[in-house]
Amino acid sequence: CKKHSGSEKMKIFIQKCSQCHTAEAGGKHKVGPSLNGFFGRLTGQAPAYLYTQENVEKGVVWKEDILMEYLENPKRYIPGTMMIFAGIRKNEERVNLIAYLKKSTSST
Amino acid sequence: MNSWLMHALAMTVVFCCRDALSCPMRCTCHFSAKTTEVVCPDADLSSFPGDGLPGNTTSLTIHWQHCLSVLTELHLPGNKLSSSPADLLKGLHYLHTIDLTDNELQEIPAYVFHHAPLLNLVLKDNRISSIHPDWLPNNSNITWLDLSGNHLMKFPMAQLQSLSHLKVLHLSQNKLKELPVGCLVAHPAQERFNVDQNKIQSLDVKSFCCSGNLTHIFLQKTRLDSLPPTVFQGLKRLDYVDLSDNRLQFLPTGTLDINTSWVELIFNPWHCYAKIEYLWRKLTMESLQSEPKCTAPENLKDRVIATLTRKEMGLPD
Repeated sequence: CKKHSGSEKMKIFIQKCSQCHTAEAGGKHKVGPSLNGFFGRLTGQAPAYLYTQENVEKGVVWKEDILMEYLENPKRYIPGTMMIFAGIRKNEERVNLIAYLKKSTSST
Repeated sequence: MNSWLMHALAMTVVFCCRDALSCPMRCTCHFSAKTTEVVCPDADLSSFPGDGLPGNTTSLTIHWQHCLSVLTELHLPGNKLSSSPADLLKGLHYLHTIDLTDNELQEIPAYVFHHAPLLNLVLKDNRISSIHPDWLPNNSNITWLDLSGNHLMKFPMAQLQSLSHLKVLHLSQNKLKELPVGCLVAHPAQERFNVDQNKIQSLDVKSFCCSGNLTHIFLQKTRLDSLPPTVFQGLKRLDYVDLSDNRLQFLPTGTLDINTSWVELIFNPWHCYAKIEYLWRKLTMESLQSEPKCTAPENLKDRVIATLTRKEMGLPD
């Protein structure tokens, strides 16, 4: 198993997520909602962001195993999502991104 | 103002006017005060509606003008759409986003994306090899354009000329062989440029000329074997440059004399002879957040460049 430094994981976020999302505390909504605080929270709960009904009603709590499934193919997991993102096929890449998300979005 | 979000479309659906709408078969509908969402995940579209074509089992019929004129977003990823008629979006005065990722479009004709006030247009992973210069209107306000994963051989200069509000341009995973001089001049507001996974080989000194708002440039896997030393000059907001996975052996003096917090340099065949001194100085004195390694000479293979001594590089003390 390749060991990835913190910055390797952050690169995935920069390349694949940062166009539409911020992660840090106080980060603003862009095309997509700020991800700050989403880990351990129900879907569709970032304040002041207009989600689709299906996203809000999905009713699961964001954590590692849920994100592994979601980030492989977001539209399959939440068919009504507006998120324009094909997904990440490689398992390892998802694992690393999720580790980065867990850390970076929990900053207060 | 009620707005409709249509996420995919079922076969043989005819939409009546909203008051009489019942949810189409195999779809889920959500009605709320602010939005109406129609979600049909099992669609398998192969053609867009033509003018007045009757519905049958293999083509979709939607009377846009009657019922969907308040459509704001259209998501049709993962279908088999292979052609798009001109004036497709006539009457859709509120449509700002179209996602056509993973379809089979090959040629984009004139006028197809006229009429709607598009901001976001995603055509990722199709088979697009040609785009008519009049595919978008002259006064287009598009900010996000994704043409990655297609068959473009040349940077589509003429096709992007009128996009003066463009902020994000994805051309990754095409077959581009060069970035022509001034390719981004028409987009002064551009912030992100994804052009990784092409066959560019070398950049012109003026490839990024004048793009003072660029924050992110993705150039990984573009077979770059050299960089002109002033290629990033004047890009005062540049935060992140990805040059990894290329064929760079050294960097000429001055290339990274920019105020950029992260320049990714790994997976290049860095030759750690005297010429590597400029890069070594940059890595040891500033934080580029990257840990590139030597490929040559043999005795320095896999050494992190920043750990080399002057003696090892063949430099006088």
